[in-house]
Amino acid sequence: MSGNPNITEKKHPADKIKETFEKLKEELKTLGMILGVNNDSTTQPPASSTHSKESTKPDDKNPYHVCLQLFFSGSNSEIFQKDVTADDKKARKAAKAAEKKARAEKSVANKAAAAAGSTQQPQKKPEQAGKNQEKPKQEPKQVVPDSTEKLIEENRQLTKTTEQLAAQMESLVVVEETKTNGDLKSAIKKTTGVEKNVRHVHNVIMPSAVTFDLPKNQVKIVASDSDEGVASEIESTAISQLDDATCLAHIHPAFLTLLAQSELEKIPDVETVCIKFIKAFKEFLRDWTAEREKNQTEASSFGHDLDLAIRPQLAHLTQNGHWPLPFALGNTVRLLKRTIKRVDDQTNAECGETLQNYLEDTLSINFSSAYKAISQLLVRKIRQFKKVVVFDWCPVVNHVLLDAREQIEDMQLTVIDANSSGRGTRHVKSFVDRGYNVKYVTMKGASWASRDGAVLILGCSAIFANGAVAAQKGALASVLTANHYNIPVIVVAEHFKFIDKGQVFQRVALLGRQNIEFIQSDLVTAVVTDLRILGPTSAPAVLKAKALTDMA
Amino acid sequence: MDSNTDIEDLKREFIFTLRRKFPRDSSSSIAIMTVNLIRKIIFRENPRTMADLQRSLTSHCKRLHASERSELIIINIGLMISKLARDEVLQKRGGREPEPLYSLWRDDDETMERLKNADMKKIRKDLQASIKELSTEIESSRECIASQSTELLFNNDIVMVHSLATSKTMHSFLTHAVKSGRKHRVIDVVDEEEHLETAPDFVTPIELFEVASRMPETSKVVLVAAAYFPDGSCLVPAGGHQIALLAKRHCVPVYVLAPFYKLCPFFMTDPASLHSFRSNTLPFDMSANSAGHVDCLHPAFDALQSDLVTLFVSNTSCIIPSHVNRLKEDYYHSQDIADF
Repeated sequence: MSGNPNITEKKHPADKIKETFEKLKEELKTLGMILGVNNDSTTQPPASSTHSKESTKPDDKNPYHVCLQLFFSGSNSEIFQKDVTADDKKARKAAKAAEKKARAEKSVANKAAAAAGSTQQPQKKPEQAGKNQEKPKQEPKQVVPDSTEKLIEENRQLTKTTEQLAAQMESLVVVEETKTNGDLKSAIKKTTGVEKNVRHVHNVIMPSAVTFDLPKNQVKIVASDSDEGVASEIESTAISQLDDATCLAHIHPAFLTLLAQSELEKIPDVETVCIKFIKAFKEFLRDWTAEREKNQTEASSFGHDLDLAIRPQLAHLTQNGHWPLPFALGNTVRLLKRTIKRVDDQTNAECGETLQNYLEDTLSINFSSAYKAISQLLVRKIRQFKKVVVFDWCPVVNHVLLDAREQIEDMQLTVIDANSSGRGTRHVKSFVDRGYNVKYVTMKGASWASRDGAVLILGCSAIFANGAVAAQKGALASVLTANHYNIPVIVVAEHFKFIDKGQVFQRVALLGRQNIEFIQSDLVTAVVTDLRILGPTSAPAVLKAKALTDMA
Repeated sequence: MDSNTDIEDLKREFIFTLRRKFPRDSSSSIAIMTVNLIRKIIFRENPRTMADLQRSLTSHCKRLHASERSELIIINIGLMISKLARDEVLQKRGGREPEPLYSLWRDDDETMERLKNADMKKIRKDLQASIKELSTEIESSRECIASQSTELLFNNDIVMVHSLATSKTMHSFLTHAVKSGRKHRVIDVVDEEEHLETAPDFVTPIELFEVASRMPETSKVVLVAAAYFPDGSCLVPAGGHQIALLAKRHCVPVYVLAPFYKLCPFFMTDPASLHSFRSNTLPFDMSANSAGHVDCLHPAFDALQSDLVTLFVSNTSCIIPSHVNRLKEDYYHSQDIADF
């Protein structure tokens, strides 16, 4: 027995390790109990024996193997019959927490592995190994030593299985990265020894041989249609630094331009963001289709591959899910993804064509036609109110105002601006350029403007399912003064600005530091959409009509 | 004639001082200047009877006010002094002032006649003394208001204030609270970007458009009154109306610092006449195109209704808005108000 002299030599220094392993083993047993693993694994020797073997070959026997073995053995009935103590309950709670985390990781891996068609089963094992690392300590138990030969065999088997699994995981990761050119970092970092990557939990040194480390810059978005923000699925990873050029190599330059523009705060409102995004996407699509033609890949997987390819781009735009996309843009992207999935044409070129046409249509439907429809509906109303008050910049409102001014000669406009030389000056400019008169007032004079005006027209970023309106900061104050002087408040919103959520209190990507205020539905008189004029609480009807609700 | 020209000179001097100062002097210093001016005028004019005194006071005050429309304090002071004179006369006569309740029935025409012809010489010294008292009271009003801050602001309060930079009363109000050991956070709503840097240390400056998003975390709002009226409404610096409306929506109490000399006995029918529209707020590069087309409003005041104000903090005590009507009786005589 080759192991024996080693055992006797390393008895003393290995004592501590022995204890550790005992504890680990006990925890694993409990885990096994919780997960309901059957105790009937025949070929494997009792788990209790492994720890002595561990001390013999610390180098090439990963504790990973130990964990696996411990888990699958479970035939030590005596150990399974122990009473459930308070510590066990703690262990169970921790196990559940670890389970959840592992489940999250599993779902990421699974969805990423959908293409490779791997089964669920091989992925359970590495996760359980991950779970094992977070158990609190338990009382050590008595261990019965066993013959070392069997142990050596078992270890060899385990090594093989582990290596196979690891290889599978790697291949899964590799499949996704074929499209991108960036540095490929394996999702799994393997370590060989106990010394490395040791985590301390409650003063018990738990070796973590296999760590799952989602590479910072290559996070994949969980493909849930309903949620562009990934923050709920993956715990917040660090925000990727934009300075590092290598990590940007796989992001299309069109999106990089978009991001740069937003950083410089050149994008004043949601509509511009949407338009720019669609244009950037068209560029990206063109390049991607061309490359696909070059590679002569199958047209049948066009939709699916495009879906996968767009994910890292979007991830980059939203800083890895840290900030969700601006609400209206989220809608657009979601509809886009749905269309992508449904694309089914003969050749790659045709698929590309279809999508380009769809994007063109979106641009025209959502923007130019919508503006016309809204302005038609609203000008009729403005005819009754001669004095119009607006707050801050919105391109739709501007369009409506110019139309109205052309048709109604004696219309008077007052512009309330959030701060001096803010974005309200764009309204003023557009009017003055055409030689119309306009009154301009900063926030200080909002009360006076409302007192003189007959209707307040607001633009918005989004309208939520409960009728709340997301508008620029300062809008709420203007609305309250309007209500005080009893003048109606009309909010203008294209249909894609309706989102199926309650209220979101997070900062949004791509719009710089502009934060949003929420105006409750009871303060708003009417919402003008390109469909019709509605009351604000009818938002769900629009969502249904335009199929903007979650299909998830 | 000499005295007349003297008086005219004095008045002119006064108006010029007011107009020269930009930004505007604090209200209390204006009040004290007015008091001194009126004292000098009375001294020079030397009215013989009460009626003379009243006539001269009203005429001077009206003219002064007409030249500086936004300073209501001038009228207030004039009327206060008139009341002081009446009080002195009454004291001398030893009679009791008829209850305001009964003054509807002007049954004491005789009293009025006597009042009119009362000799000023006897009460002159006393009148001078009471006028001095008045100016001391004006000077001390700031400390009195500041001392009430401990009753209104508590630990862990988040207080939103407006126009901290321009109001010394507000500043002393808050520093008094800070000095007496209260730990609270102050959010100051500032007008312009430049004020953002010069705010004192215990204050977080924000702009007016951010008020709505900060209001949910605020527990108290403190504003300064430019003037307040018998119905409980008041004039606050522009922007105060939105703050008060937001505070009402979030059920946050609004305290208005209002020293007694800002109490106007008249209802303001046309607040628009008070404004001094000063600056053009459009950016410079737009000025070429926008000449003649753009009307920039820059109002000075906002009118707050009485239901938006929780308490007026005066130098004597805190008063609820509905009580202001009664309070004006302390400072003004109803006859003066009626005759104005």
